[in-house]
Amino acid sequence: MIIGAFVIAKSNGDLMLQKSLTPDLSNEIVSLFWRKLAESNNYEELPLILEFNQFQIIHIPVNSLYFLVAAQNETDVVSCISFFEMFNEIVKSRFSHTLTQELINKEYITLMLLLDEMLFGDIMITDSNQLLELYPSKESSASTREPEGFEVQTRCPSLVSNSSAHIPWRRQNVSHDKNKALVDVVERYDAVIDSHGIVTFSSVNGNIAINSLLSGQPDVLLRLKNPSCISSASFHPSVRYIKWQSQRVLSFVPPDGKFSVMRYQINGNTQCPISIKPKTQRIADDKIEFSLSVSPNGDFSLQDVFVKIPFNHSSLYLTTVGNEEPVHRIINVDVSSDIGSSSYNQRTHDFEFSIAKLPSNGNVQITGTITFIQLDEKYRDPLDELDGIHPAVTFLFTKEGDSVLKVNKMEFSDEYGGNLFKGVKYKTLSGQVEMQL
Amino acid sequence: MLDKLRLEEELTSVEVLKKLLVGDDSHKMTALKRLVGCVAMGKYVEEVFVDIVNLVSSPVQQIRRLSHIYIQYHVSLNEEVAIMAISSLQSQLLDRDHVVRANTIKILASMNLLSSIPTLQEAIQTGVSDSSPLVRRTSYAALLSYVDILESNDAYEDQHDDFVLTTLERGFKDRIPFVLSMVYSCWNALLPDSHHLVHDQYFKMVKYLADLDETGILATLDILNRYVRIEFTDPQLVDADDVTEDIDFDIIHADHRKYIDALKILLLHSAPCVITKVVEAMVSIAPRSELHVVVDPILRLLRHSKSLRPLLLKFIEQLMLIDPSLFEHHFKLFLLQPMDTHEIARTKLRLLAAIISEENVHFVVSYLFDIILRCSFHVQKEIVDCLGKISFVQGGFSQFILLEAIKFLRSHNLLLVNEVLVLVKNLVKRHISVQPTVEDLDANAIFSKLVAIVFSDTVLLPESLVAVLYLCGEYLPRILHFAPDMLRVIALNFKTYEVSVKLEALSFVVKCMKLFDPRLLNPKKVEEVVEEPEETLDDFLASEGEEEEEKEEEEEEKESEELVAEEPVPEKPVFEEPATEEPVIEAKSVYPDELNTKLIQIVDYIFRMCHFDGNPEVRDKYRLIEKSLEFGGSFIEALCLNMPAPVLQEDLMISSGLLMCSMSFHLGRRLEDYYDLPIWSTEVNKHGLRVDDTEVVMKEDQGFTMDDLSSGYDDEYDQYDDYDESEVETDEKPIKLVEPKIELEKGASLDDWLNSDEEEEGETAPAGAISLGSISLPVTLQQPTPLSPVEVEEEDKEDELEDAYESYYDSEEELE
Repeated sequence: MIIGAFVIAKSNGDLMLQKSLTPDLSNEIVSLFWRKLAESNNYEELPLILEFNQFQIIHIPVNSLYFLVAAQNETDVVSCISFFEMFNEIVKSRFSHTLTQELINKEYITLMLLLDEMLFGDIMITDSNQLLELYPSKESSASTREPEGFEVQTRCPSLVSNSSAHIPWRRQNVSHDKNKALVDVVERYDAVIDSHGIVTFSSVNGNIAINSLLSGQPDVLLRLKNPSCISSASFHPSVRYIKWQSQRVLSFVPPDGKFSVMRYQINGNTQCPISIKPKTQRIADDKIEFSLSVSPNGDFSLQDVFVKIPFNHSSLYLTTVGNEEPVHRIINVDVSSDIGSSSYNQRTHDFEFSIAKLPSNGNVQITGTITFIQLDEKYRDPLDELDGIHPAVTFLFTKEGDSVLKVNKMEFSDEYGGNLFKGVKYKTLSGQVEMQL
Repeated sequence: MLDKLRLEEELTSVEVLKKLLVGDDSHKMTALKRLVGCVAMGKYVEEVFVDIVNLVSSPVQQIRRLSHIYIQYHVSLNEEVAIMAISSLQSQLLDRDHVVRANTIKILASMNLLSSIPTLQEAIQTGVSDSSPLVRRTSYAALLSYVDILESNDAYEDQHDDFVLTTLERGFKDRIPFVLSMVYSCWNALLPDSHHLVHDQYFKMVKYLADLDETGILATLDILNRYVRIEFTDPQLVDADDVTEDIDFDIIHADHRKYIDALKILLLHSAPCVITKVVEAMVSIAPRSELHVVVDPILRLLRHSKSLRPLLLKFIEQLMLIDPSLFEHHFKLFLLQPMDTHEIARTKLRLLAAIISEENVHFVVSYLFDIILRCSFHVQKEIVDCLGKISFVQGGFSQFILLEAIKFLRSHNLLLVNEVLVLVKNLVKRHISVQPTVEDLDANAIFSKLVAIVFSDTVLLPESLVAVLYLCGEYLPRILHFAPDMLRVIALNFKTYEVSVKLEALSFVVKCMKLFDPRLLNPKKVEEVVEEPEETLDDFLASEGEEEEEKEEEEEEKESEELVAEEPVPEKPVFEEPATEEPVIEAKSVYPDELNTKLIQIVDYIFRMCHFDGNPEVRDKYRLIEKSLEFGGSFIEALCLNMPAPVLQEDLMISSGLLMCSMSFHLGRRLEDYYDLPIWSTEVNKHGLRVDDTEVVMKEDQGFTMDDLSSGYDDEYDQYDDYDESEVETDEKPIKLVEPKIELEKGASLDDWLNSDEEEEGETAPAGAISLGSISLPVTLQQPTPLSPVEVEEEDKEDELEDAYESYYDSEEELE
């Protein structure tokens, strides 16, 4: 057996939901996991695989819950973690909600039924469309149903009939009143920017998501304008790899509903859409003045700009063996700026600043004073070591023809007529943009 | 609802449930939902088991499904209740609903009961020839449990082997990837050695690889990796022997090559576990020269999946051991990020140290010094470690690292200072000579910084002070003019020092004495003593009446110092054989007479403090020195030995030799059931047992060649099925291009639209491909002779189009 037991545990240590394939492992797993967690007192530092005599526990956190799997002996670790992610995504696509305690409380019957199909001896069924056939969700089923209940379909075509089981991701006999397909291209921009404002590292992670509402068995061809910029990509199982390798087109029979047809990565230096120039100056023994100038680069239009300056780095702490205690404590941060709002989080020592929309031509100047109090005077003055402030920025940006990858057009097999392709919606977000200034 | 069940125990009390179960269907549903809630929470309610078993034949399907969950959980826990259920379940194996059939097999397989084996065997036998793929797949999964139950009860016999084999052989004929995946998974788990079975299946497995689901792919790769290593020769050997331009085609067997090609296609798969497994397979069976194809997919995963990051970094580490140049251009991916946990940061720094080259060393070193103050202490320690390794690998850069590191000696972060001192100590020992030379002004600056630490009155960890004193003692010729002052400060603060500092300070004092003390400048020759130092020492110690203790302590000291010699920790010098010849000391003090007298007084003062020190170790060391001085300073030499510079042990990364996807690899030790790959065969087996029947079938059916390897699933529609021919949909009629009506509505002409679609389309459409290749055919037919459209205009037009699309799209959404 590959997976001995699958458990979802609450953050207070209670067992929330279990599916054990080996008798009565679940409670043991939870208590063992909690013991380890208590020993290490910081979840972040707990190793991914916890080793015990009889089995190993693999764990990941999801929305203040923990997914735990007991793996007996030799197991493919990555596939266990993939299973967590898959389960999470199936839950998300089914209930249009991430997995939370409330959701489990409410929908535990469906979750148990799903788990029953997904895990048996080995990982059984993980395709969300196949699961949808076995247990249709409320939205997809028009028939009457029990409150808090679930639907059972007597006939599950792709799992019953052999002829369609080679396209396991698509149900048979799908019908929609109006055929259409919507395409979203979402890109995330990650960057590390050095002290001279030069992008030292950048990459774009993109995702082409399609909402396919097509009856029958459509065959779709998606052409990209500039496929050569992609440095690496992965595809939904429906995409014909051969076609991609030879012609750089996406050819597939889409599953019904929303799915991500392609994830890709584009490497290479691109222009950073935002420029931030921080400056710090010590104006008194206990005061530091800082200024930040935030401006868009080129003709990017920036929204939801969120600047976070961490003041928790070790230069403000006295570190001796066994303990870290602050030498200085920030008691106040005064900020003035033209627009936007700011706050200082006392617990995490983060200063946060947000602007809903950055003016496209001018820059925003933020100035502020940080007041410290020195807690122990026998030590050297650590403010000398404060080598500047290091903001991390997230933002949403749009620009004419903004995404790097562009969809050229989408073609359908001829029984669908012409007017199906409703165009593409491009969205570009910032991922992790870190300034090392 | 679940919380309610947890809190209100009466909801799940046996009486209440029994009452509900005798009621109508809705009451039964309520009871079952509560019971499933109990199962979800891992609670055991066996009292109503008999009532629930009766429900499996209920006409209401919801009731049946829920009762399956309850029963499956309880039979796996309790053998007695399991026996009660068997007879009721037997009839369910013939149910009309395929999900019920599948669930019944699951329940039977969950019983850990020998008496259920015949029923299970029968169920599997009928299940594998069921018309539903779900039931077939479940049956093969149940085969695993079947063997498991037999083995755990020590009842596995040869006859069972036959059953397993015949069942699997039936499975090989299945054409549905959904079923085939489980067959292969089962095969891999039950008969890992049976590579003779692969001969017939080899081409089928390679061809359908991309069509299988994740479970199937993982198992198939395991089987094929082993098979390939037994059947073919190691491509690495070939690579090494004769490197010619066109080696690949001649030397790697064609069948082996087919598998490698199929693996490369799998790198486009969306599941992370498949990518990692393919990487493992490439490492195991492909030539090193082709390993570079895995770099991009692995890096994409690394950025994409947060939870997999620690595992993937381990993968990269392993790959770099095989070929260090693989990730050379991607070193920026291993720069630390604020959210990195300690473990991830450590691996990243290890990778950075291993990836270092002349081009990137400056960037990496400056980067590390930039961020060091922003990191937590654990990471700071790793960064200093990493810098140390870099200084070893890139020796030319050591001076720069040393000068940068010195700046951190004044940090108030005491642990950081301590770590930096370790680095400084090692670098100084390796790169700076004891005797000052004219050129190295930098070195003198370094020593003045070090001396300043002793003079300053700020708090320091004792270890740091020991390190500084040690370094100063070793490099006395460079700090001649500071030494008197240092002695003064030591005398002043001696009382406040920790024991370890006092001991090191004593060593320092002795080293200094060699500069001015007449007793050491002109040692008396006492030959007998030199010949028999042990006895003299013993006599001396015996006279003190603490012989045993002394010896032990001496030994301990030696031991601890030997340990120190292995690790670059700043401690006292080591009692090893002399590494270098001590320079011949002039019989005259280096200081003027007046200062000399004062210095001798200071030393005497320190010695007196030692004599009355509270700690026996300090007193002992003092006594050793005192006695040694009497005998002309012969033992003193031992205190002043130069320790050789530390050498980097080659343990940057160690290959465990384990398969990268295995649990054993991540735990770093071999688990019991870890299954090793066989060693490569020395010659290719030319028995011709592999029959490429897939090609024959394909050619007959559709006119394809094996060039269209797997994953063109549309091309294989017709071949999967041998159960229900009537439902087969052939895809033979070519699909035509949809006329772009939307575009016409917006006023542009069809021809323009087609022209904007670049010429490549016509050229790349292959003539032979039926389904989608032919889509573009109508386009090229209608297309007039290629114009040379101006690109700017094209783009404008397309932008307009996109705007139109977008507005349309938005309005659609609003409507929804």
